[in-house]
Amino acid sequence: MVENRPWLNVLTHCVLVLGVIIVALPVYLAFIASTHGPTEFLQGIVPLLPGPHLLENYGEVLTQGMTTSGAPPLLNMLANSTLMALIIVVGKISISIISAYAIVYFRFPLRTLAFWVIFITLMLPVEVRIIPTFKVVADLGMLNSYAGLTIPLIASATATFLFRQFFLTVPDELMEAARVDGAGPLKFFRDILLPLSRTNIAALSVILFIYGWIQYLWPLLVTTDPKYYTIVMGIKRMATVADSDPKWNLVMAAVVLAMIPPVFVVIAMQRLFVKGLVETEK
Amino acid sequence: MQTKRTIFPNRVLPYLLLTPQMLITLIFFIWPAGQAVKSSFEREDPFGFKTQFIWFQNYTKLFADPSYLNSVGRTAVFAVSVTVISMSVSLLLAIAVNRLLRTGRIYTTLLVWPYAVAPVVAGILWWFMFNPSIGILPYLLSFAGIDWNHRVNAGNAMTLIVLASSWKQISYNFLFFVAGLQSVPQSLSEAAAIDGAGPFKRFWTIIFPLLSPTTFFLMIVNINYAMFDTFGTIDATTSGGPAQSTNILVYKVYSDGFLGLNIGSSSAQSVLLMGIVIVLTVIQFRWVERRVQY
Amino acid sequence: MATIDLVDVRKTYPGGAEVIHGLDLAIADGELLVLVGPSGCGKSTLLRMIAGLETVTGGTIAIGERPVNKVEPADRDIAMVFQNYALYPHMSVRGNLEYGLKNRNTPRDVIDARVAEAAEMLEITPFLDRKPRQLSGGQRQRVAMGRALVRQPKAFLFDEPLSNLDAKLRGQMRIEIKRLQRALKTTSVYVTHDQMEAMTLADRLVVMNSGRIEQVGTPIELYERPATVFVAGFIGSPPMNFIELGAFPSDVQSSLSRQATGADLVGVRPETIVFESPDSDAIRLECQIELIEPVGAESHVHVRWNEQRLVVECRGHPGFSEGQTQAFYLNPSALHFFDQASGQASRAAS
Repeated sequence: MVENRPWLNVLTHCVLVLGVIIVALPVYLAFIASTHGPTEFLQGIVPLLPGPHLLENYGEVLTQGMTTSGAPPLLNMLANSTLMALIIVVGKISISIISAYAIVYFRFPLRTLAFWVIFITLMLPVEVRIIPTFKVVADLGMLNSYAGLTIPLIASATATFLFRQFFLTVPDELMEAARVDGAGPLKFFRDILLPLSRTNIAALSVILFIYGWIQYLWPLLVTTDPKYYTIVMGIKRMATVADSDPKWNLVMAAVVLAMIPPVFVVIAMQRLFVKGLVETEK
Repeated sequence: MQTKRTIFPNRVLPYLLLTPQMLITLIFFIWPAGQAVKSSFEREDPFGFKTQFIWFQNYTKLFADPSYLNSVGRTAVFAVSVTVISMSVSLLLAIAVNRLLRTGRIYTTLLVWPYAVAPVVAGILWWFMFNPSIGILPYLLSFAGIDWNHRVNAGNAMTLIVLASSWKQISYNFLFFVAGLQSVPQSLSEAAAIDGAGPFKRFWTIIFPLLSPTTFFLMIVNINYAMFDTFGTIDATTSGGPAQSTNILVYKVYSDGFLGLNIGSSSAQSVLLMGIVIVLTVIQFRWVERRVQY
Repeated sequence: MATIDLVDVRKTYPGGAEVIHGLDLAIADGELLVLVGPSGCGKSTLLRMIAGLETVTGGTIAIGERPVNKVEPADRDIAMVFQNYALYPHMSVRGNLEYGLKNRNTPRDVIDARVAEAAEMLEITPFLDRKPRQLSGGQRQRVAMGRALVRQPKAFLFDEPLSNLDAKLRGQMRIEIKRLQRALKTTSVYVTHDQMEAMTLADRLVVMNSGRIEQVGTPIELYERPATVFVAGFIGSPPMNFIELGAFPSDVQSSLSRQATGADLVGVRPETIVFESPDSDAIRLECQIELIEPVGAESHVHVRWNEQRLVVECRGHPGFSEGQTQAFYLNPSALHFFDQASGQASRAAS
């Protein structure tokens, strides 16, 4: 900064500490709740310090789920969520990178139309076409399947645009040199373009993993079989009955478990995460 | 549209490369959207046997329906509140982090992770904190003489979903504000300091105006977020209640169509929402074009 | 080893703009031919057409007597050195050198031998396992050259390969390219906008201007007998001075007209203007000295004669001072004559 004003530095830290507290408080309370026995939540206010039942609660939700609300064991839901997020990551990146490649490195009739078709997906979030999309998936027999959970979500304009943007910054001469060196389109893609896209792919993977993990409405629509529940939608089912049968300790254990994987990804790969987030919006 | 100076001469390959994306887009995006438009002009009999083309009746009915108009109003209140609260807090935090050098990174790490929390989980977290019987916040509020109950009080319910939704969005806005602040040249601040402007004056007269592209962009993104991505938050907390007070447009499409099975009305609502997304997207991309020209 | 023949070659862009207007050129086997001209003159486009990176919309291009209009760049047996080097950033230097050979299924031992040989020749052996980003500009340039060398192609195409280097390195690399080309005797086409580079490198020079060839010839031919005003102004540094014939006193006009009938523009090389009075028929110009640029062995003296600004190149450092008046002399036999309307040189009527 331009000058040094001690009171301003103190204020800065105060603001940030306050911010961190606000951001962390809900999760702290959830974690505390997940370490207590069920009796703590019958009256009074929620406990503010850790209790002794941590392992017991987490063990119970992971292996048995919540029988009262028909939630299956969380291990199964965590596996489904992981699988769904990973399929979405791989699927979205694969189809986006090859469509971006087609649009940037080839000129062909209907190219502009293809671009607009991809662009339009930005304007049609699942929330505004719930029923007809559900019908299509039902007609195709994809309800209660991993295909139904993932395939309709892997068309992505943002990822395609990110790769398009990146390809446009790759010097033209690289492709020309490769052509002179005898590389055809597929070889150039595999040998040159794909390795150059590594960082972008990694950054995008972080963002898409989170995107896939936090999906709620879509799994809610296409799964009725608990075998295919993802954790984010499963928790909702557990929470709904918590009012009448307040097993807050178990609900909050599930909440914490549902947050750990994506939050871990964000913190562990913070640089890629920030890059992915900022670049996909360009 | 841009391509490379030289291109590959293949004729069939580009179509093959585009096929997966096109198929998925056509089957799961464009076809259903078309269906939504089509059924927004139709009435289906209660048994689903017959459909009848009724022009704009679904739409005119919607605009005469007080519950729909109420939902429009609730959505506006909700979107504006989330945008204002989340962006103000984020901007404050971003300015603070931008003042720091090394410790800034630690604070950033501690502030960005809520991005990874699902909206529905965010809803559950705040619902738990605001739980009227055992939540910590109603307990604290009772000392101020406030009797909190979002199950019966419309204002309380709206406050709950606004806070939960803003909380989750802070990290996103924060990151973009930090990026925006870092792109403001240090020399401008220094020049203003030499001109005798104090830190607050410098911010309002130099930095904030230069930040306006970021601010505008985030405004659009936040409105978009509040209108469409908060479905989970609402479903986990208020389910649109009490008495429709938090039934925002996107939730109403779902509850009327999927739960209430009123396909015609729900489709008309979908089409109107698509219109809103289109407008927001166009504004956002127009802005991107402008920014490129700087 | 091959000749390259261009017959009535044209390039029209899809929009309809023609940028190469029917161009004929025969490049001899083993020759180093330099295409030079201002930016936008079409020299790079022409090179890229020879490489196969731009389509040929009219005429034929033949490499080694084989028409290659429809042949893929990879199958033309040429190698190209790009201005920005276009090194594959994720591959090591060795990977860059090998890539073209591998794509052609060259046997491993041949690849190794050729890479070693090229690396030796270019003195990049110590860097073979580094990535391009760990190299300096000059080293990258050598790798780009090496990538062309290992292929042992029929022709080398250079697209302004030295423009990204600083002046000193550019001078060194220029000599090295010439030496390599002499040693390998591979037909080479070299594009540059720098007339100095063009003059020093070329066996033959092609001066291009707005999609046409202005003149083809050896550097000395072009310097001594420029065929057009454009070539006269482009080749040589500092550039040729041009004086309208009508600016001279009438007696000088009539004597000059006898030298070249129909000419209305006179060109004077700055180094042919002198300030010590030579023999009697020299043309005397009474000039005012505006500015002196000492450049070492000589000085560039910017002077004003009537309304005309001229540059005089003097050996050493004449003791002029800025602002003084000084007589300069033109040698009539060292003058060039042009017709302004056609832009063509007028042949001396001798």
